[in-house]
Amino acid sequence: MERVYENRFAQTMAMDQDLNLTFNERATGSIVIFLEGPSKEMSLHLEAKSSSHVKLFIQNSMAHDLQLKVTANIAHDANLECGLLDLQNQPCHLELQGHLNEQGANMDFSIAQLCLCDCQKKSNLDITSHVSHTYGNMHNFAVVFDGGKYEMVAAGRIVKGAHASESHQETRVLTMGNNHQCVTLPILYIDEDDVKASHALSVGQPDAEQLYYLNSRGLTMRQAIGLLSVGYFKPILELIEDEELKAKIAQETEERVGMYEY
Amino acid sequence: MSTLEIKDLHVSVEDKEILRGVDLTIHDDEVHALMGPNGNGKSTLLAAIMGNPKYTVTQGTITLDGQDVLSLSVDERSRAGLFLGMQYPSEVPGVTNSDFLRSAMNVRQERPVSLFKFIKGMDHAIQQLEMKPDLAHRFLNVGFSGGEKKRNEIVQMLLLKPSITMLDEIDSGLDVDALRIVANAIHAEREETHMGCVVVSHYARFLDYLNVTHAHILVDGKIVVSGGPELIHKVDTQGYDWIEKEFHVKARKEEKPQPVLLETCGAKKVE
Repeated sequence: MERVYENRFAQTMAMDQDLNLTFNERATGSIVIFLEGPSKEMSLHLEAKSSSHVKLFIQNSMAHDLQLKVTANIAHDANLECGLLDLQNQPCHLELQGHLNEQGANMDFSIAQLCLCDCQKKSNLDITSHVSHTYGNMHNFAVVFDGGKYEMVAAGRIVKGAHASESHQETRVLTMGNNHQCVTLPILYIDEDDVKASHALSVGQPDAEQLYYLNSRGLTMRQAIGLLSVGYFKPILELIEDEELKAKIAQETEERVGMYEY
Repeated sequence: MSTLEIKDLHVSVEDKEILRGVDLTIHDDEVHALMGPNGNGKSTLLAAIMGNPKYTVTQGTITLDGQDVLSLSVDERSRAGLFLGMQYPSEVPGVTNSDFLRSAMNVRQERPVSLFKFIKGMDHAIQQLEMKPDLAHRFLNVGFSGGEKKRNEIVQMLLLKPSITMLDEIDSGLDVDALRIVANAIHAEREETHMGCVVVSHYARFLDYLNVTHAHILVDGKIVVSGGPELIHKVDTQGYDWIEKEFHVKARKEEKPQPVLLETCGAKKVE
């Protein structure tokens, strides 16, 4: 299925098959996509043309395992902010290929995942600066519970000649309980001198002092952990412009992590 | 009517006994000042009452309105009506003040607090403490100055409405104006809820603002003398030396952490 967006737009849709979205020159708007349906493999292709500005929020609503491939071509002065929220207790394998093809291209990709028992979340992210003055950024957040399996390989590439480009990434993983597996591999392939690049990575259990502090205000251990988890998921909700929908998904997220278990 | 009763409390940290038999009873509408030299057990007492897992109660009882506090978890103690305004509140990145406080209020009620009621209460508390309006949207204590953290503790107290409030050096980090603001907020809350208070402070002016009803001096893990507000002014003018002489006790000296020697690091110079 193909869709083309022009001027100003705002849309919420379900995606149950491969989808190509094109954002024409100077198109500005936001899209919310819910991944649904029986298909276990889907691809999403994004074409952000010159000076387009797009916010794209994707939520995995699949009741089964999913392999999702996302490709994006970003043109001159285009700005694509894209994120995937995955709270499902189902395996999910994400492949992302982002191409910053012309000067001024900007791609900001976020992923927030909940990994529960025996459920594997695996991602391979790659954003490449092909020309000068481009900007790639990745934010990877995950909360991994007992028996969860999380694998994140995030690569930022700046090729020869793409000077004055930037490639940044951060990966934050909160681990709970025992027997979880967590593999994170931040990679920067830099083949140019005049660039800015950075990566930040943290993997670990919640701080005992923080938990005590939250407990001392009446939150049970489950609720305290839920609240800390929400802190990993909520930033991605900023991609949703519809305040009502944002509040609804925020509440669903809070429920999912046990904040309402009184 | 709320009563917190502590009897013969002994508390250890890592097998070292800090409290050696504390007796203290706090009723509604009472404000107890807890004073004493640093490192003699004041903060330990409050932390043990709240249930900080670092502290082990080896002997004695704590009851709140007859309920055994020691058998309760930390969160249960909070929901039972105890509140500890901490000396060093934790920073919690990623969790906004509003999410945190709304959750903390919700666990106290059968039905979640309505958004309107929550925002109204939070705005009122923020105004009362003269804090910046963006407090609700900031991450919990992250990037706060020392004074902001302490005021934020009081914001929490105002919203959670405990029956017994414990404040551990809540005045440190507050300038003269902020001290007055915080004291006024506590005072107003007492007027409204009649909560009992235990306040650890070295600052007589702050204790004056709070209209202290009882004062206790804790030395070497025991309350050696109790009295009224006059005790605070005696300490303020004479220090603690007279207590050591009069009551034949020796204040424990605060142990300064020793620097850890990491042994010799080697670096090879390459020509």
